[in-house]
Amino acid sequence: MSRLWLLAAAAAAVALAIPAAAVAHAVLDGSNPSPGQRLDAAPRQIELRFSGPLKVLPDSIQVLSTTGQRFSGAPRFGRDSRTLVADLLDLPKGGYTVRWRTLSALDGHVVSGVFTFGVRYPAPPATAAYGTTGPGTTEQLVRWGYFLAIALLAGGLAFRVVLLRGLELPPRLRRALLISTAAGVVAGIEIGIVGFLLRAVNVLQVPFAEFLYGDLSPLANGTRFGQAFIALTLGFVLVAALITFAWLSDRTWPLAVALPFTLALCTGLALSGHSSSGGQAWASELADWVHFSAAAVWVGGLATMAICLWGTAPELRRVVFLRFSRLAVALVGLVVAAGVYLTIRRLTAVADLWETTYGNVLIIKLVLVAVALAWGGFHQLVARPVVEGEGRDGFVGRLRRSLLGESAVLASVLVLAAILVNSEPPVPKQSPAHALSAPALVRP
Amino acid sequence: MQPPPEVVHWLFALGFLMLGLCLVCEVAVGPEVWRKHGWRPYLWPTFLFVMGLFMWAVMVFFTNSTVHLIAHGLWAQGMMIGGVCLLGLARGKLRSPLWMLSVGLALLVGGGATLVHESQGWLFNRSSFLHHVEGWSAIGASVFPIGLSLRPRSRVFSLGLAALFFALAILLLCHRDAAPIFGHMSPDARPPVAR
Repeated sequence: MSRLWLLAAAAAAVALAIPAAAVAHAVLDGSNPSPGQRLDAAPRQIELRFSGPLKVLPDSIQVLSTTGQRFSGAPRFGRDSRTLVADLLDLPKGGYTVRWRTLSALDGHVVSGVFTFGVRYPAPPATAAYGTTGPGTTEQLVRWGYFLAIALLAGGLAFRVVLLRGLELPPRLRRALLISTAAGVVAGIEIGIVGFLLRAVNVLQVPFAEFLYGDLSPLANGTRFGQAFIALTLGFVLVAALITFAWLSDRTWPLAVALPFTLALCTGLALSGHSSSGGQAWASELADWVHFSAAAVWVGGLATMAICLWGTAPELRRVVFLRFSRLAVALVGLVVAAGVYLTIRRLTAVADLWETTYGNVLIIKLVLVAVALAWGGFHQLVARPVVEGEGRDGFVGRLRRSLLGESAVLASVLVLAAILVNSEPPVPKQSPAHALSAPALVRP
Repeated sequence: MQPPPEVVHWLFALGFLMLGLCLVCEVAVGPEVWRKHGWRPYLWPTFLFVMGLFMWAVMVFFTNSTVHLIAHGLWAQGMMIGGVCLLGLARGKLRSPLWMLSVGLALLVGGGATLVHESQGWLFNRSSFLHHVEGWSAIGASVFPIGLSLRPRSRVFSLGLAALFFALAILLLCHRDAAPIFGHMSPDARPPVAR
């Protein structure tokens, strides 16, 4: 037996001692111009410095204008095999995209990345690099999933902290609420990562195998989208910690802390969306936040009531339904008021509603919102008086299907909200100021 | 403004050192004595959970490759889930010792992620070597929490898990971004960063 151990140890030592082939992929250590830099004079050459030796490819360095015109010459080695350089044509004023893609000489991995710089002009964000396309169907679905996760979390927390305040909760309901909010926060973290990676694939424009070694730092650190990803991920993690503490301690105050924090996370969506551009952006961002936060609590609270409460605590249905009805009136008021303001801000003319894609999507959203409001009105005007009057036999029990129906309509509204957040609102036809503020429109 | 990666390794080394010390102390004095103070059973599960929280910060701030982002995310989730399950067991919210399997799963996934995200060979430089040892150690030592899920009072499995945490702490404290290992360093490795 001891001989066997000795043999195994010797084999392990030999395996460790034999030098493995030194394989390493190179990463971008620095560049001139650097990512996001605004230059006062046009550079004559671009230089990329890597951590390891490379092989030059014909498209190792591409410097492209906002129209896709290539301004870089053939790439070649600089001072050593870790440095790539390319001569540049005379760069006019404007924003430029640098796409680099090279072969790591040690392991044969293709490494790639993208960044931007500006000549006498602010560098466009990496998300607006040349070649990047708008969000596709998958990204819209992921954004929708993200909205649903936040709604489940915010609505679940509001339901637990506000609507169930002072009530004795059965263990089954406590458990269901815990699972519901935990699912919301976990989904928020995971879907956020998937959404970030999908955007990164689109920005880098490389196949999946190459994407694994793609440099994401210009997207994470140099764009509002990336900053929102960082803030939202860390925020969700903090909320997860608070929910864990509430579970362990059987106390509600950690959830009461988590609720405003979750609502504050909704600002991240406004900061990374189209509302952050243009004049008076703060007002638009505030309205965006109110609109989405109120909608999240509405749809999430409704779904939580139908799914978690109705089956686990029949004795609480009546009192909670009446409480929710009162809260829903305030939430709907906020959603509608902020929505009207945002519509006026974003549409340049009434005709935009039928002449632009943004307007078309908005019309469909308004129709669905009208259906949800009518459904909510039925609950408010028909169901509530019956429930207040102690309810007819079986009426309160049958309300569950109706509540789920309203939740489903509101969830479908969030699909259209996801599309609108990812879309550019109509551009004013005679607005030179707007044209100057959009890097994509600057011609070199 | 990011700290050098090796400094982050050292910070997590201190975390693992604490985990190992707590486990050894628990084994040395026995679970009954260890639990005489109400806060002690929560000590090392809380450390594990908090290390998971901090790992998320590493994930979002060190984004120079996709594979690193994914690996850091997996470690963060593994440590948080393991910590939550252990806290639930300590608090009595979870009853079955089979929840210890979550720690075993976290070690398997975390060890796998360590090996996948390290694209260099064993002897490329010290950091590469340590990553390989860390990955295989975590995978191999996942047998200890799996054993604890079946025999929760086993001293051997507890000490085995503590040994893993000590080993990880030592390995992480040995990290340098560019340093030779066994006198060997690839001529292709990047030069040390001047500081």
